Amino acid sequence: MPGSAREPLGTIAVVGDGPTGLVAAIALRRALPRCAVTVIPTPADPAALADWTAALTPRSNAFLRQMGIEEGMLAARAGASLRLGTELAGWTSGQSRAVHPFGAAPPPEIAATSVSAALALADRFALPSDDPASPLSDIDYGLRLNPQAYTRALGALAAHLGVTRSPSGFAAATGDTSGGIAGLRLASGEDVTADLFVDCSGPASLVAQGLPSEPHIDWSRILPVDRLLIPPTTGAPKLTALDRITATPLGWRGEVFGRDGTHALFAASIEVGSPEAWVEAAGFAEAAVIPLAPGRRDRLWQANVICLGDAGVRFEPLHWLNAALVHAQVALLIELLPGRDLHPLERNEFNRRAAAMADRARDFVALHYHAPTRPEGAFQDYAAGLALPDTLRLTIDEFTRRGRLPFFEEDVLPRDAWVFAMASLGIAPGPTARSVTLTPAARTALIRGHEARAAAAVQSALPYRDWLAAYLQSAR
Amino acid sequence: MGRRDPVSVVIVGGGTAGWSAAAALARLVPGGADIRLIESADIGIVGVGEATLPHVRQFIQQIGIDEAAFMRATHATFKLGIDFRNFGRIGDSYIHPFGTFGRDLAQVPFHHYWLQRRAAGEEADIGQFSLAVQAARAGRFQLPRETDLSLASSYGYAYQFDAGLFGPYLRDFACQHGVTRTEGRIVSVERDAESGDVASVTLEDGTRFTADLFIDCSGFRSLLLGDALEEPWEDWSHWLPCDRAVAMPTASPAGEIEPYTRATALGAGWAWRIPLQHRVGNGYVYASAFIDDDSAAEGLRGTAEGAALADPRILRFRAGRRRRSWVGNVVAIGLASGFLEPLESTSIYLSHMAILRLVDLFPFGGISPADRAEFNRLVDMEYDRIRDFLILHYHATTRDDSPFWDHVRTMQVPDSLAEKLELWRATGRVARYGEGLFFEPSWVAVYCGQNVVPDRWDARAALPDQPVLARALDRLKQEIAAQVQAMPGHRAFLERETRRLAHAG
Repeated sequence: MPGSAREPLGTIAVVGDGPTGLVAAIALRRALPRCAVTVIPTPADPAALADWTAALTPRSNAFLRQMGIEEGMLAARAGASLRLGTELAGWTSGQSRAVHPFGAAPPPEIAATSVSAALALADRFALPSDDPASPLSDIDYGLRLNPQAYTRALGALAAHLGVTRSPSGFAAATGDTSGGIAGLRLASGEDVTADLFVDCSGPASLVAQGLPSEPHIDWSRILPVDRLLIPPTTGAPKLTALDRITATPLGWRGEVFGRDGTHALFAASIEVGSPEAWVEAAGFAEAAVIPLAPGRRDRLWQANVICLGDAGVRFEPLHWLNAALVHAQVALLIELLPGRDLHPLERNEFNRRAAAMADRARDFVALHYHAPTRPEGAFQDYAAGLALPDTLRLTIDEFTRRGRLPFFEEDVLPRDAWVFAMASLGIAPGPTARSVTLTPAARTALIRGHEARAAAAVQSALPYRDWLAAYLQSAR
Repeated sequence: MGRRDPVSVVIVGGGTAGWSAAAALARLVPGGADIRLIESADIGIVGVGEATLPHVRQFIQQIGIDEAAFMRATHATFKLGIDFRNFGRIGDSYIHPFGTFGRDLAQVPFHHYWLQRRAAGEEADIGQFSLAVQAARAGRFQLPRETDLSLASSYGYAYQFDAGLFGPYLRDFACQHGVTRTEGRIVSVERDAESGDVASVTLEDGTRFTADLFIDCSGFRSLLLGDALEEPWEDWSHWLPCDRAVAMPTASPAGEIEPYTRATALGAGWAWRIPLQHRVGNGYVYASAFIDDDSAAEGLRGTAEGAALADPRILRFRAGRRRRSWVGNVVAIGLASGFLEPLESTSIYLSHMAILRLVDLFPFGGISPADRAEFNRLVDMEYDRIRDFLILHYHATTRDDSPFWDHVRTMQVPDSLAEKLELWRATGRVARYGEGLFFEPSWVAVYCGQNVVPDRWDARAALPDQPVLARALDRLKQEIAAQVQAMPGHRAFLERETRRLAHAG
């Protein structure tokens, strides 16, 4: 007997009107043009880190394009500019500086500057090339955004696609008898039901609160940061291809150099220092202190509720991976888009893969606290004493012993990003069959070849400022 | 990272696994290993694997073997997939291709749209939407394009070759690249009293060889890992009951050479048919609990086409693997490590996969327990996943014509497979893993080919206007038919490329 296509989802309620909720709503509406997708506002929460992310990784470029969120629109309306990577200052010893670029890593047998890093260090920029012969095929870029303008631009696009925005905000979620959510109560007193609820309300996880209690996986013994300092205003704009993460003895400072202003934050641990000391270490005049409880829900999709962003996974924004993780999980949801009959096995498959993504992002962040020559500082000492997940231990061991990076399912970071992270932290690869058997002449040739490639890329690129001006001109 | 003292390696056994290991280490760890291979002419080669997977191309390319020379030496033909006959039910036939089905639309995999049309009474055969399947059915072949997203790059290929010739070819190649070959039979294995490692092996003539690393490629005897180190065997015969094969070559028929391997289900197992340049390999893989040797040989004679070139020869094996493949300083590769019947031509892949892992983890500066743990983790994962995929071929059937099929149809399958099957039946989705051998198109081919049709599939397949969808599928079929039409026949392609021919002119 032939089966049938499932009845598609008829109604979806997305709770949370920040970028996480809006991106989810846009993606769902595009996938199901006849489905009524409603976004229900929640109070803006500064602790919803995925919503305030001012920087994305290259992986988001293809995702946004696929969702019809065009880069040109973001340049024109969301303050977008392009970045080649991040500078890590003070992560290995007192005055150390290292570049963690995007794109392809140099051949693993040689220690060399990647093409992206060479471009960034020369303060130049070019778009990546599709032609493998071109040195510009080695580079890649991520987007910077102005969070407020980005939210407005996504809101306009969502409205254009027919996503409904509830005029009244969220008030409460009511559970049903089968372990799911029966409906939502809005501030106006109106009730909302839906086939599927997407909780993008930030760490408060307002919808999921209405579910039977779900175990949380605590990462506070793995990731040190549980306090974030956010200054009330952005700093002066700075036109550069690199953003910066600076380690201090009391925590780390992140700076995204947007073309409209510098978005700074300071990440600290309650175990080390005090709010006053953090503000001083951060170099901020004043700042709001926001608590962060690192960890994730055991199941990100439970009954008829899917938790995205900080509603599901909370971790310090080192390398600004929070929004990158949201994009990967939204893409997964679109791939496994359920029908009205939410099937438990499909939920399990989503949960297996979404959890693997989150855990690997956590490992990538945790790696940064295990440099072999860590700088002096109470924060660094505290962080280095935290637990190393088995998966990260295997990664570090294999890399240092045999120069290889074991594969992990659903890694949100490309392999090259791990290579760059290891290099920026001074973790040297162990001997490989190739590196050990390379003759000195072959090694020299490899280095020369790579240096020539990087030099050619720098030659063909424009100064960052000039490139950006031309880019913005064409985006208008 | 300076140059280091080479690691001394002794490889025990000179079949496909042994000489593949020798050749790969010589080429990929040049100067990093002193390699000696000990083989005995008295000990036969099992040589089950004659059909391969596309991975073998990467392997030979990586170690620097010229494809044409290799094909010439092993009398190889091209392979686009496997034709499974009588598996889901008697009379059925489907091809598991080295390629994809159709094109994704709006981020939804093609097979959901196919399921939608099928439910409307159209398009019973998903194979019509695979270029590899259609080219195989038509007996045609062309090298795929590798770099674009067109139909012409929607497939890959492998080889069907004479395994008895592959070993010697690799032997010459490995010896040219510095491997030392020693002829002799190993009569004893000495172990280090303290560590338990293998210290040396001694030949009949008294010669003794020590090494840092021993690679056990001794086949089912598992001379080092099984006999000397007594690593326990994990038995999978309750899921994969076939434990023997009877093999018999026949003369090549006139006409087209099928660019695919045949696997035909019989009463107590299945028969392979592998067309080479100069002959056809045939064999019946069977479960001795359900049929005796003579009847199996009779069954093979009944299905094999063409004049027999030799008497039927019986091989014995069992499905399963050693609990660990790397113990102490012994790495077992190939049959010494484990065995899965060649239903999906995985034997040579399993050897080559293990060899490349060993290259990745090559123990410069000494073996660490972490090397062993990582190697065993990776090898176990490959074995487990392939095992589940093979079990599917037996379990997904309505055949009830023999006790053998009654057994495999009703047996309890591993949980890891049961979950995948249930997800497919309920939603039309394939559990996705990025690592491992068989990806979504392979699972779709076997599920659909063996009539495991999902009850439900992606809701989005019903969204497009159905007449428009039907026309799009028609166009795709026409495109594929036109491409196949433009391909040369398999024999014509081989004859045009004389560099690949064993007996050119």
